[in-house]
Amino acid sequence: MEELLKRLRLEIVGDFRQYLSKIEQTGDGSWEVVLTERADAFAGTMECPVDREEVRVEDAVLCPTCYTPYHVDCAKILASRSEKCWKCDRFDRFDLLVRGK
Amino acid sequence: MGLEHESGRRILISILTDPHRSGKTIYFDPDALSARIGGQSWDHLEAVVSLSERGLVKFYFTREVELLFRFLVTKARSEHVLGLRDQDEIATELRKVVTLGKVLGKAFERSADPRVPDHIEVLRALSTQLGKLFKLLEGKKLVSKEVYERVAASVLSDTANVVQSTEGVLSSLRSALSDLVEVMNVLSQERSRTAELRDKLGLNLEELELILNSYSSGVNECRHLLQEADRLVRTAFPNWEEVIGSADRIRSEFAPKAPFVDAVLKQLTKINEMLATLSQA
Repeated sequence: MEELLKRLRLEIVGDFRQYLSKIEQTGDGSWEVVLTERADAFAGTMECPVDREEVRVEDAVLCPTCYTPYHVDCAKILASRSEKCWKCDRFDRFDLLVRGK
Repeated sequence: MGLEHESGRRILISILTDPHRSGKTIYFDPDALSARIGGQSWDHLEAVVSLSERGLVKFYFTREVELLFRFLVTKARSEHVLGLRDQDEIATELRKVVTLGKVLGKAFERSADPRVPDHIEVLRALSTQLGKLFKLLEGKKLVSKEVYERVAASVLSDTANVVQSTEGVLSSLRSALSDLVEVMNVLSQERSRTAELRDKLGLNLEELELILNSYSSGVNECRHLLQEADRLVRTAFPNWEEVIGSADRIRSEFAPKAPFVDAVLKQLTKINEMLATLSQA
């Protein structure tokens, strides 16, 4: 019966970037440091590293390793070429992120 | 701040980076979240609720989720009344109810229902008293009117004391069973309606299968709780069949002089009707 929780739909609203940057200063321990580094992707103007154009995070595909935002079309290009994330150079499965988009 | 805030952030990042996110919206998927960041479904939901309280996430829900809430409330209450779980386990179940209540904007207040296992002895005493009334009725023609009335007055006096101490627990049991049967019927009807819709569409949609399987498991859980209630009632009333079978005769004989007999037999008959849905379903 609890499977019905999957019928809950969430919508991201509000300025979550502020929320993320706020938390990064309050934490402690190494886990916090890692996330602070990753959360840098959310700070300042969001720019897709492929076409250097501005991108809204809520409409973007995010690298799950470093959270760098990409336009969906740009991510599709990376997927078609099996390229790694241009920022962290680690994640190379953009095909999983753009499937069905 | 602290743990709740950190888990909120981890959830938020997971949602933002989830490939199933479509624009700003995504379905809550506890399995996917557990696979990515560990933890349990309800902890994840609590974290998302904390995000919604900060105005970062908005919930949208369908009728099925409201039914889940109703089911969880009823299940937790029944398990408490039937004494099937200890207080810690009930508290865990109620935490789920409170969390989902926040999502749906429904308040939940815990009531202090008496538990049947704590009152087994007094219920057995009631069973004995009702058995005595029945035997008295059976032997009415064998004794003089004077003797009959003297014995009846004595048995009714003892019965009155016992009835008084069982009122709370019987009322709690009846109410819990009534909710349980109602929820089971609603789930059963919704399951049939959804199955009909699936057949009309001619499609085996994943969402419909999820709903159908959930409703089926909900109905099964309700049936299991009713079976437990049936077992418990028969433990408390060893002569249950006799009490129910003779209720009308006992009532017509003794209720005019002792209205409490009518009241308690009505409670027991209602409880029996709800337990009987087990054989009807």
